[in-house]
Amino acid sequence: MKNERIDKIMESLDGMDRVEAPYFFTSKLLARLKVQPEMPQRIFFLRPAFVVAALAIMMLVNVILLTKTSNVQVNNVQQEATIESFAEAYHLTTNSY
Amino acid sequence: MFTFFLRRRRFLYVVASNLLNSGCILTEHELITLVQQKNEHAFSKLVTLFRDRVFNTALGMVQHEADAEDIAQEVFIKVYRSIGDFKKEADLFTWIYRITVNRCLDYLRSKQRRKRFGFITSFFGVDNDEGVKDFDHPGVQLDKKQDAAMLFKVMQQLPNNQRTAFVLSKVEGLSYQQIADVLDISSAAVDSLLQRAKQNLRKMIDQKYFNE
Repeated sequence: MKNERIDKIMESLDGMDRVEAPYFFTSKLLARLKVQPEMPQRIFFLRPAFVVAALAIMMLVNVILLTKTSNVQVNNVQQEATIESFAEAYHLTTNSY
Repeated sequence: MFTFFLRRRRFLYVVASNLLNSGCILTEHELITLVQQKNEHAFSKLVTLFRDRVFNTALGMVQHEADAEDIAQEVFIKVYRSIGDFKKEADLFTWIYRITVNRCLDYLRSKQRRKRFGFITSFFGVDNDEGVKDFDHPGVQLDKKQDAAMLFKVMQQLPNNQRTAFVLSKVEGLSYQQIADVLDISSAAVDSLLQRAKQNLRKMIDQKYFNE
């Protein structure tokens, strides 16, 4: 019973007629064609996908540069500390009595 | 030299217009050539030849008369503006159907996007509720209207490729080979798409109308 009902629904489009376009379709179209200016081809680097990708790459480069710079600063601080301790160990400091 | 070309062009235009106005039957090749020369009469002829097919396909796909008319107009504007790139060996019928299907799919995608972002934009007071209404296709036989409305409703949940194949087959009555040409796939792939579409529709009808 249920399957028969489903079959009937599935067959409901059989033998349907093609719908005609609305009245004045062609005249409205020709009028629109004259009014609507031809859209210029969008420049490829202004496409949203390209802009988003470019922004993502710039952000990534920024993050990489920031992390690298902070690593270098840490290394510099460590290096300075090592030099100072070396100088103290060998009494090479400028403070002389 | 320039005036010769202008005169020749004017002569061709007059000949074409006379041919079209006298009801002379042009071949598809001649019609395309005239439309490529931006002949308005030839373009009107082309629109008359294809408008019902384009509108009917769009209506089956988007299930909204005003939107279908808008899409059909956009299709012909696209045809007019890009017919210069059309290769005459290709089939005009297939080309126009392909533009129609692509435009309809763009419309459906933007509608899905709007729905997805509707929740967010509703916070800002933008009303996105388009309402899900039963679609009454004017071409369906009177005694089948109610069943067809149910079928059209569940068709909205089909994946786009299955929906396209189903509409081209059932609403537009194209053969498997014609659908294959429009979608640029093999006939076997069309057969498989339609089988899956029918299976999914049966399942969805069962769930929606008989398991509630």
